[in-house]
Order: sequence, then C-alpha cells, then structure tokens
Amino acid sequence: MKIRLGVIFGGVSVEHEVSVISAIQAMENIDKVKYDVMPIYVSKNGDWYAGEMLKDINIYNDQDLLKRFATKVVLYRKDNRFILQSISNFIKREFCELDIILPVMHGTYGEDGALQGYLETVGIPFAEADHYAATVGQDKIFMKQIWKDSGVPVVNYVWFFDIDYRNDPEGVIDKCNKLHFPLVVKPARLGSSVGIAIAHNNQELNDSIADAINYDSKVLVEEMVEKLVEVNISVFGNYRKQKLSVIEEVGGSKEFLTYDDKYKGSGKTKGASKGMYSAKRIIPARISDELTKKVNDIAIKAFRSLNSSGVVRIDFLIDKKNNKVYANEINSIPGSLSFYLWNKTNKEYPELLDDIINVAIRDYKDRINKTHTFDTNILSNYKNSGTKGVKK
Amino acid sequence: MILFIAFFTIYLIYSSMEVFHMLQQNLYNENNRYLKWVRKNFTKIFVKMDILPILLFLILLLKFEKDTVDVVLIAATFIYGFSFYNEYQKNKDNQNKIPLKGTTRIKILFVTEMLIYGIVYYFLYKYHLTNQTMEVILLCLLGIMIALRYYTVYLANIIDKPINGLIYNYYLHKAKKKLKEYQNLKIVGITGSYGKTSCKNILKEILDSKYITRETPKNFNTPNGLMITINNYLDKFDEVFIAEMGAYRKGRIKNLCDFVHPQYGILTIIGEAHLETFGSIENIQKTKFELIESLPSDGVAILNKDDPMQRDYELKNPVKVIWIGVDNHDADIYASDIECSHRGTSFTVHYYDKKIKMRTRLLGKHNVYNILSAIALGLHMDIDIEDIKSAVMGLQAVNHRLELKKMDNFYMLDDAYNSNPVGASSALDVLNSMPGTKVIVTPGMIELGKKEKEENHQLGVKIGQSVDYVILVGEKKTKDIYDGIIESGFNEENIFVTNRVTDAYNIVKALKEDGKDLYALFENDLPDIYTEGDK
Repeated sequence: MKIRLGVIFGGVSVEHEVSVISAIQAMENIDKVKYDVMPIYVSKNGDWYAGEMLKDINIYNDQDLLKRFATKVVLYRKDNRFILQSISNFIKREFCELDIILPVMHGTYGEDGALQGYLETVGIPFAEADHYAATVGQDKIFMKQIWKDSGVPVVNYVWFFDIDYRNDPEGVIDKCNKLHFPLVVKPARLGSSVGIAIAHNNQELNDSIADAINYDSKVLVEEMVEKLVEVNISVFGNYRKQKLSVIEEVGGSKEFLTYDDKYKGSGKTKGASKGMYSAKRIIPARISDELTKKVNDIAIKAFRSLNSSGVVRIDFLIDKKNNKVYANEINSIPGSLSFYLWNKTNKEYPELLDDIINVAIRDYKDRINKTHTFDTNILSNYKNSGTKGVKK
Repeated sequence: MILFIAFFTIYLIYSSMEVFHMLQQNLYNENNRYLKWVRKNFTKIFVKMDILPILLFLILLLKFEKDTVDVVLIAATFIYGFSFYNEYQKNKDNQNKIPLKGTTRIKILFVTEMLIYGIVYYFLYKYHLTNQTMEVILLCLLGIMIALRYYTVYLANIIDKPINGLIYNYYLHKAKKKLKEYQNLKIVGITGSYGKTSCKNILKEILDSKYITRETPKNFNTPNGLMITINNYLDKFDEVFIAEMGAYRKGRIKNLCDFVHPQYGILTIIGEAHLETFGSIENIQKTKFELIESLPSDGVAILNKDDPMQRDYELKNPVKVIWIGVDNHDADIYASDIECSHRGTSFTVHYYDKKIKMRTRLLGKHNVYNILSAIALGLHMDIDIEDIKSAVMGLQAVNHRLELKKMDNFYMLDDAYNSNPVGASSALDVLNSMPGTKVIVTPGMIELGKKEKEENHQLGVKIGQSVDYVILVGEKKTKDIYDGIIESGFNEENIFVTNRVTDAYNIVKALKEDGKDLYALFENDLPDIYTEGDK
C-alpha cells in the first residue's frame, strides 16, 4: 500500500522560486514505488493549489495558466483522514487524501514554524522540523541566544528592534560600537542573504541598518570574521540519533554570499533552475582534520540544542587566522534538501528522502504515544467551581 | 390519545437511555452480567409510580365510554409527565459517571425498541374506542413494558443478536481486508498461560528501536480486541504488528491465527491457567501450540527450553525454531549470571557464540525470559545488539506488577496485581535475591477453587524458607498460609497478623534497621496499597 505524500512548496517568501526548484528536484527523485506524490503549491499570495501538472517546472512560468488548471485546495481533517478539499469556484469536493506531508518551503511562513504549527493543528504527520525547531531556526537572534547558552560558539553580536533605532539611533550605534568593525548587519528572520550588508564604519553601519529595518523589525549586528572560510555541513536525524554529511566549502569572490551568488549562480543561463546546487562549492572542504572534527562536533550540538528533525544544513564561519569555528546559522529546510552533500557522503537522493520521511513517521508516533499516556480530566474537577481562573 | 402517546414516548425515550447505559456498562449481558445486575438492583431501579397508570387502565374494564377513556388517558399522561420530570430532576446532578456511548449497537437497539413499541402503538390506534378488551390489554401492556423496561430492553437486545452478528462480520471483514492491504507488515503472535502482556510490552519496546511497531493495547487478546486494534489503531506507517492472543478453549488460538496470520510466534509459559475450561493440561499445550502450528513454513517460532511443556511437544510444522532459556544452556539464546538489586536485574546474554552484558530495571526470572524472546526476534529481524541493549535498559515496569519503588525508608516490591501461584513464587524468588532484610506483606491467594487451601499452604512453606519477617493481612483468610509458614520451621515471633494494610505499612517501616536495606514484597490483591503506595 503506497504512502500518499503531499509535497508543499512555494509560499509567501522571498525564497519562493528556490522552494519550487527544491520541491521539483525532490519529487523527481522520490521512490515512486513506495510513495504517491501530490504536489501542493502555495502561491505568492498564500493560496494552495494541487494537481499532477505542478510536477512540471514549466508551468510556473505562467501563473495564470497554473491558476486556471491546478485545483485550489484547503487541507483539513475529517474522521482522522487528512483531506485536500477543492475550493474552486463551484465544486467543493474531496480532491485527494494524504498520509503525510513533506514541506519544502524556505524562509517566512514555510520554514519559520507558521506552516508547521498549522500542520500540527490539523494533526497530519509531516517531515522536517516541528514548529518549535522551525521558529528558532528562522530567527537568527533566538538561534544565537540558544546556541550561546548551549556552548555552541557564535560570533559576537548585538540586536535591537527597528523602533529602538528610530527613537535613539545614537544609542544603537553606541551599542554596535562595542563590537569590532567590520560588522555584518542582518534582518533577523529573513533567509537567503536578503537585506544583509557589511559596514566598515559608522556611516556604512547607519546605511545598512536603515536598509535592514525595511525587511524586519528585529535586526542583528555581528562581527565579521576575517580570513574567512565558509563551510556547510548537513545533519540528518532527530534528537535521538544524528548522522553527518561531508563538509562543503563555499567559494565566493566577494566578502560574503549575496542573494545573487547563492541562488542565481555564476552561469546566468541555466543557473536559476539548479538552485543551491549551482552555488560555487568545493566538496569536501579544504580544511584540516582538526577543523573537520570541530565542525562535526559543533554541528551535532547545534542540531540537538534546537531539537531539530529530518535534514538540516548548518553554515559555519571559520577564522583561518585563529583556527576558530563559529556556527553561523541553521537551515531547517535547506535548499535542495542538501542532497548534493549526502550523495557525496553515502546516500543517494531517493534514499535520503525515504530516510527523512521515516524519521518524520517515527517523530509522529512518539508524539502521539506521549500524549496518549496523559490521561486526566481537569474539566471534571472544575465542574462546580465556575470560572475562577485556571492555574496552568 | 395523541397527547398520551407523546408524553409516554418522551418518558420512554428518556428512561430507556438510562437502561441502555446500564446494558452497555454490563457488556451487553455477557455472562448474564446484565440480568444479574438488574436482579440485584431491582428495588433501586424500579419506579413505583409506574404501577399507577396500569391500575388506572384496569378501571376501563369496569366502565368503557369515551369520556372515561379520555379521563384515564389524561390522568396517565400526567403521571408519565410527572415521572419524566422526577427522573430528570434525579439525574440532573448525576453527571460524573462514564456516559452512554452512542455506538452503532446502541442505535440499532434503540430502533428495535421503538419498533416493538411502535407495533403496540399501531394496534392501540386500531382498537381505540372500538374494542374494550383489546384496548385495556394493550394499554396495560404498555404500562408493564415501561415499568419493566429493563427487561424490555433485554428482549430488544436478544432480537438484535443476528443483526449484531452481521455487524461483527462486517468489522471482521474490514480488519481482514486492511491486513491484506498491508502486505509488508510483519505480524507477531504471542500466547501462553502467563506473562503475555509483559512479554508483548517488552517486545514492542525492543522492536520499536528499528521498526515502527503497533501492539494490541492493554490486555486486548480476544478476536474482538484484535479487530478493534486493527481497525482503529493500526496504520500504514506501522511495520510490525504484535498480537497478544488469549484463549479459554481449544481451537481459539487457531481461530485468531486464521484471522491475523502471524509469521512469528512466541510462547511464554504453558501452565494451568483456565484449566477448568480447557479440561486438561494437554489441551492447554495443544491450544497454545496452535499458534506455532499455524505459522507459515518460512516463519519463526520462539520457544522456551526451560518449559517442559514446550520442550516435549512434537512440532509438526517445519518452521524455524529459536530456543531461549536460562537453566538450559544448550538453547540458542540464553542468559547467565542473573543478579538482582534495588537497581533492577543484570545478566549476560549468550547468542550464537557471542555474549553481551545487559541491565534492566525490571525484576523476575519471567521477565528475563520475556527479554530473551524479544532479543531472539529482534536479532532475527536484524536489529543491532547495541540498540537492543539500550532498549532493554529503558524498559519500564508496569504499575503494580513487580514494580520496585523507593518508599520512606525501604524498597517496596509492589506486586499487588498478581493473583496466581506461579507469579507469587517468582516474586518470592526476586525478593530472595535482594540483599538486606526481606519482608512479605500478603492477604494470601483467593479464587483458586479446590486448590486454594493447598496452594496457600505451599505458599506459606515457601515464604517460611525465603523471608525474615511476614505480615499477614486478614486473620481468617491467611490461616492456611500461617500453618504453612509454621510447618517450615519459621520463628513464630517474626509473623505479624493484622487486618488493615495501613497497619502493615507501618509495621514494615518499624522493621527497618539502620545500615541495612529493607525490601518489602506486597503480594496479591491489596486494594488499599494504592493510597499507601502513591505517597
């Protein structure tokens, strides 16, 4: 009996296109003997569409055509079945039934816990991070606070709200000046290097912050690592068991990867359709065994401290001068699901996808088993006491 | 007339809900439970007010005119209306019990009951004001039917029997179809006279370290229990299904196997449980082996070499057999160096020329057997021995089943749920293997039929040989144990007899000596233990 897998992608996010590419790669590679795949595309204004034709990348070039032929759907639960119901103009019917969902969304609303919280509310099992891990994995400030507390090395940073900067720019700049230039300014909750800038002096710092607050109300300012080597590693598993991929080295001509570097690739002609796969990279990374071990150890710690699940990519900054390793950020749903790291390790993409879903099923079973053992009826005790307030 | 029928029906429906509820609570009269309950509580559930309308209807025998009929009917309407109000008031504050569940069965029962009344209504309508005798008879009939509604509903339940059979078959078919669809599901059957549930729980934890495993919940082990598990709990993500199989009669295990078709079979211990319904120990042996004989030829059986009833059985099925054992070291997988302490049990597992040390928080030799069968199957299913070891380490004791707890100043071995001599003897062995002062608290064993006296006496002898102090709860009940203990040459001064478990608890506390651990085994049905034990 085949498992009916819904792949959700697209979304209200600056990484919409990257997500579409990642999802189509995944759908092409999944074991079709074991899984029946239903693509679920979330348009830029948040509508959900489903249909076989969404497996074809070409349809995304013409959104009008897509909206005309794909079926607009909602996901809900009915008698413990999970249904995609058609909500197209006239006909409201069950479009298809799903067993489990694989979200391949990047950035806001898809990777930040919002979608995960929705899926948990509906009750359907789903792969990758749960809403806790996803939320913390998207907010670079939460992430750094937890990592710092768990002994995962991070570069020195400060953070503030947009309103703090508007009300008291000098105060914020003073705060930043406790760090050493050059500084990196980042909107806290956007992915894919959007709104990120480097400041070498206070003038540039002011400009960068002014730009960053257009993107997010929370802004992170951190020290830039000089003599930088950027490396990434993928971690797979859940809090019980983890596996590590090979380490990749990210090459870049500039001081850091811009959005263009990261996703549009160097070859302008076909690069876009290849997503993360086409960023300049060297596998395995040209770093010493000692550094490799450091990266491996920190990666496990970083993964577990956020209680992540499925496959993630953790990005590291290595200070070549001092041989220091810093965890930079985690991607709860990495571009291309990091398959290009795993097939250089020991796992082909179909196997990786199967593993991701198996871990999801295991997490789901653990979760329902845990709740089933909790058996008490608070309401019955409050029958006669009225609404005096419940102490949680 | 219409008004009367209306009020009567409202009262009928309302009061029937109560009856349905009781019928459901009494498992639809399984083993005549419902009838016994009705007989016992008859005075409580009989509403005297219901006789009044019957007497009123009888008046019509004397005078049968339209006016009289109308007056009588209006009076009866008021009485039923009043009764309804009365019952309603009575039940209003009464909401904390388990509510009636609106199952298909109850719905059908409701329809059946309404049909019965509907027939009476029909004839009543037909003879209304035209046939005196018939009208009076029918009215009285209605009055009697509602007054004795507990029996009326019982009648409806009997009528429903064939329909329920059909429903049962429907769900059975549904479960079979579901199993057929899950071709890759590995199915394990567990049976035996004792310890099926613990064996199942342990196996679940160990197989779960590699496969997503669904087991029959609690002690569901009948066809119905398996059906419910398959229909409501099993899903397509599950890779292994563990079915606990119970039986009181020959052929029952075979029936269960024909239903779920296990590929793997585990026998725990074959003993004398349900000897009366089986007739003989040979029948028990044959019945339990129905599981193994039903396995497909490429299946696997896991048998206990220490159990003579398993060792001596001539298996006709050419299936692969993995033997486990503790006393017999020629078993495929066996345990040695078993040691108990307040931290649990440790032992060495020997498997296919290799060995590994394991620790568990569980106690008792029977649990070592259970763990060994789970290891045997786990290894056969390619689970890594280190993963098995870590699962064994994580096993949790089930409440009140030889559960070790730290109390105020002593360790309590809580075996309050046990009720058979084999378990009691095994619990004593565990107590015996503990370092420190050993105390047993027990009210003795009951409900063992003819053998009760003898078994209690034997238990007494064994207690006398094993422990330092004895606390007997209930002077009369424990007479046989007391005699047994004395016979074994035990010092009379070290026996305490009390009538309350709370006292026993305090005696144990007082027996604790400094610098020496104290282990107290609380054996057999000790209901008050829970309030004490949960402190």
